[in-house]
Amino acid sequence: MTALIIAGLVTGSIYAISALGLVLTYVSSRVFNFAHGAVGLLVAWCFYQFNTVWHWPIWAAATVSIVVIGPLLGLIMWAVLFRRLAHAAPLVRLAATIGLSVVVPPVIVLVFGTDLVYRPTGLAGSSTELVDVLGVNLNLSQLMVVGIAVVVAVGMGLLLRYTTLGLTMRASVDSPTVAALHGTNTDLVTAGAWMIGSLLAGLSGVLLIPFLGLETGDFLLAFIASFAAAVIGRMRSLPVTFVGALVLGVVQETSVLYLPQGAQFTGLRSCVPFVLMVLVLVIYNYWRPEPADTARAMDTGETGLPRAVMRPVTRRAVWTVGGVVVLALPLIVGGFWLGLIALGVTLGVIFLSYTLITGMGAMISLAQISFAAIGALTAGELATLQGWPVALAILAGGVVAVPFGLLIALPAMRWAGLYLALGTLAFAFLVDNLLFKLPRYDDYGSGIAVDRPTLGSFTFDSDTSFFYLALVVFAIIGIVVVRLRSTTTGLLFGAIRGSERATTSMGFSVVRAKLTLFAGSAFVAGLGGALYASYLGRAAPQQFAATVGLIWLAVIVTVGARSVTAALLAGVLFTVMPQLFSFYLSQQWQDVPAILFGLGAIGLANEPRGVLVHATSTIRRLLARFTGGTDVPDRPPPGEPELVTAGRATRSTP
Amino acid sequence: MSPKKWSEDVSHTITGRSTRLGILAMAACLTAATAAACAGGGSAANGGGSCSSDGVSASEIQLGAITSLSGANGPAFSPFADGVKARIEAQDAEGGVGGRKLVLSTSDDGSDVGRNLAAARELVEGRDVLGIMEGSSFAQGGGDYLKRQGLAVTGYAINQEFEKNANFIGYSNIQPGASSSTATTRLWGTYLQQHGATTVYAVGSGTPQGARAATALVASAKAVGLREGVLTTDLPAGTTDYTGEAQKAKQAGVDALALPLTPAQSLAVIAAMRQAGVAPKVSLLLSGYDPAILKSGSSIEGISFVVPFAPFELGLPAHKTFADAMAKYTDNGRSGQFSMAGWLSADLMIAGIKGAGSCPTRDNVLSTIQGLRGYTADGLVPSTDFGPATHGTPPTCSYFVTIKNDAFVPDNAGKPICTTDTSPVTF
Repeated sequence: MTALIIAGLVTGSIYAISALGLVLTYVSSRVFNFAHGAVGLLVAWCFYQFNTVWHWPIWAAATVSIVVIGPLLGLIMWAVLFRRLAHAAPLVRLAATIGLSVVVPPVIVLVFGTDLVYRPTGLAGSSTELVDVLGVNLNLSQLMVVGIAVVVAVGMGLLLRYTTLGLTMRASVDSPTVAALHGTNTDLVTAGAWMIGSLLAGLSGVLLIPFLGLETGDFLLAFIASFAAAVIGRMRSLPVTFVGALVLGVVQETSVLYLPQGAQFTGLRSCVPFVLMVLVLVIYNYWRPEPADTARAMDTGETGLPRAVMRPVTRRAVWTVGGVVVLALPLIVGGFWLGLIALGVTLGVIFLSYTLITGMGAMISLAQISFAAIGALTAGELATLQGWPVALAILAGGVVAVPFGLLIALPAMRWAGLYLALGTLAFAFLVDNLLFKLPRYDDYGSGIAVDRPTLGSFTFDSDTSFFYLALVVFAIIGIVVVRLRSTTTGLLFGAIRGSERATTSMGFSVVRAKLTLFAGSAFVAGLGGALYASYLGRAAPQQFAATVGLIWLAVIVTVGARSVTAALLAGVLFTVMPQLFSFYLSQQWQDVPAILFGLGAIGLANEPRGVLVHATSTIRRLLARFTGGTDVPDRPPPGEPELVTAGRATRSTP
Repeated sequence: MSPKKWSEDVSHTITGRSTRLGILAMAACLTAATAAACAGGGSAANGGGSCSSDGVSASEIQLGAITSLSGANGPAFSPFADGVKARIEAQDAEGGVGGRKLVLSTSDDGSDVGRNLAAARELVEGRDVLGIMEGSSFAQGGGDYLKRQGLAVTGYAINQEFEKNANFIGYSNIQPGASSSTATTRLWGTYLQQHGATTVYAVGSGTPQGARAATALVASAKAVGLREGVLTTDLPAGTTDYTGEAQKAKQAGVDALALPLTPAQSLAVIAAMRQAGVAPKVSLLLSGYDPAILKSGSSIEGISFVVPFAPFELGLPAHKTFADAMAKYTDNGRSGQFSMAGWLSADLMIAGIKGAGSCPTRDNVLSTIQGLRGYTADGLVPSTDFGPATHGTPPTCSYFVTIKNDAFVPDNAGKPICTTDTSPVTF
């Protein structure tokens, strides 16, 4: 037991190192940086390059990578990205940092190549010195991690609380205007905070080299597990985060004594951080009188397609031409490209669930992929193992996802913004580790088979028939979503986005509205997930990994989270684009699609409404200039509130 | 701050460079998508010559390779593509097969199941290939599709598809992992026993596959009379520190390690064991036989590896041919487990095409491979009779190497080590 606790303290210190950097960045910039781990990994690679490849001494490699490159990266990130994000809505901030975390790993491959690195050495070099701590031998790397975690927790805590620099940093974040009135150059201060934040990310990266190697997957997973510690510290307190991380490590390490072993339970221990995270989120928010951050979080900072700004004739023409092209696609496009597009349309159905929850409800859910997974597994279970007709099983996939949606909705009532995102992310990891780790559904990584649906004696076997089927399903849900906007419930969400409190005081039930939305979006995601699996022929675990859900969110927000058309486009781009690069360009371009999607998400800092809105307005402007006509002003449709960026009053058009 | 007007927002974003970049890229993609679609839809079997079938024309034979060049598995698996390329180019340098040049298209599955299917379809429908060489942990994505197509898929049999589907054929017919989906053999236990093991430690990553591999190693050990020390099947994803594992092993009196983990994880486990004072007589790694591991800097003396082909250290003529071709036809010329797997997969495909006569088709190439007897890939694999008897079964013989003085030294004087009792061990 003592040995396990000591092992747990070491693991906990590793979590602490990563969580402390996250919290510090959050305290000093109000941005929860999903890319924190990716930045750490990048700096770790630099250290490896200097120390191991170029044989620089450890101190020189450490100084250049941690003290020079780390802060420099922070400065660049701040100048290019986070400076613009400080006032953006939480959704946009989150999507942009997720975008950054998507971009960094392929960039690392481009810069450092793909050579395998097995056991890179860290700050302790190849020292083999051991210290006996209560009967457990610890090496220099482990002792360093524990020691530095303590120093960072205490040092940075003191810095923030008692030094002028720390106080200025906090003031600049809490109230930039007041801080500026006091003569503080807030830009300079936040830039400084970012430099410190990414110095810490780099320090964590280099410190963790001996434990994580330079494996992208492990690195990012370890950082995500450490989110639990940051949540325990309420994103504020460095000492509490530190203690939380230690508790997390010890619980995870000692849980081996209590958790059942066996093929059914392989994912249980991986769940520990996420169970802890959900528990803490529920407890913290239960006693809080009001969901914090509401006004800011409610605001997506993004509106739907400015559909009413087009002249009715033009709009009709665009829709007719677009509709004809889409319907005629099987005539224009053949072979596997049509298959990719059909798959993209099913993904578009899943993305419509984001249109509901994020676009309409202004809530950030990272659990949509889990609803899709539940839908897909239900379809597999019922159709393949229980012998149901596939079409019915796919529909059941949507229905079964609903109670899970409600399950999340209940605690989520009191979560807002970042906490909602983290809570749903934890749920996604739980589904990932529990459901898909069941041998029944995992089948050694092969997943469970889901056939193509049939209608009478007709089977949707061909790409063409499946394409139309997916399109019909998409169209039906799309029309419902569009119609929903002008119903009382839809308008109610407009009101909730504006002010939850005002809506409640007018006698509307926010709770019921949110429950409806979560249930609806879970249904859509479940149905889409089942359809998606049916096209692929199976529901495989890797397809529905929680980390893929992060990328989905970044993609849909990039293209446009409130538009039905954007959902379709995002789905199709997601499946077609990588194959285009693979087919027409050489292997050297294989990482480009990921980089482009990431850059798109980062681009949200400039255009929070998504690429589609931006593209349509640009095209319209160009057309107007070309025809010499007057441009129709960019204005939201009557009755729809304009929500440009957070913290601003909403404005209805006259 | 006064609220910005909508129009100001738009004009602001028009100058936003990164957004513009994104839009340009997407617009370019959409244009390209249409063009691609037209081209893709119009492709048909190459005509010409008296004999033409899918992927075969008078002068060329189209072949495809699928592996993970990008994504999580990219770094480990991309050498597979190099190995395939080297073997194909070397064959073309000798004039191809039957006067036809072999043309290779490689498709990246991005470490993703969905993209694996797309890659398979791209090769079958877009490139109209005669056969496919595949090395990917995500082969289940295109598995059902390729099974329906019925063309030969040779490859690195690390995936269940190579056990389930008759047209998926591992380069030595068996599958090289710890067990098949139903059983293991006494081979692993035999090897550990030969090195004086009595109490075995095995750990699997926290996935059902990892758990099964670890359990199989323990079952194999128990089948030859060894004792189970510790069996951990729920290692958390992204585990960073193995101090706890080492403590458990120490208390159980473990003297042998059997590790079906990634090489980096295995080395970390071994380091943690040494640190805790566990001194195993044998540490067997199921993967990691790669020259790069010798430069890892950590203490690797005495670690043993399973090698699913004749180890490079034997210096056979075929090894030299391989190394020369890798140096000549690939960018980094890296020799290792994955590049050799690619080379062998292509070699088996070429053997199938050669044996199919003057008019190779998808059908006769597959049946030729299934009928190969005494195939050795110039001595790189033990003599193999293809066909259903050993298709996708766990190995009863394998090469092993052990690190001595920072070099791989083949065990058993370079001959494969076998188990005498070849009956399956179920668990």
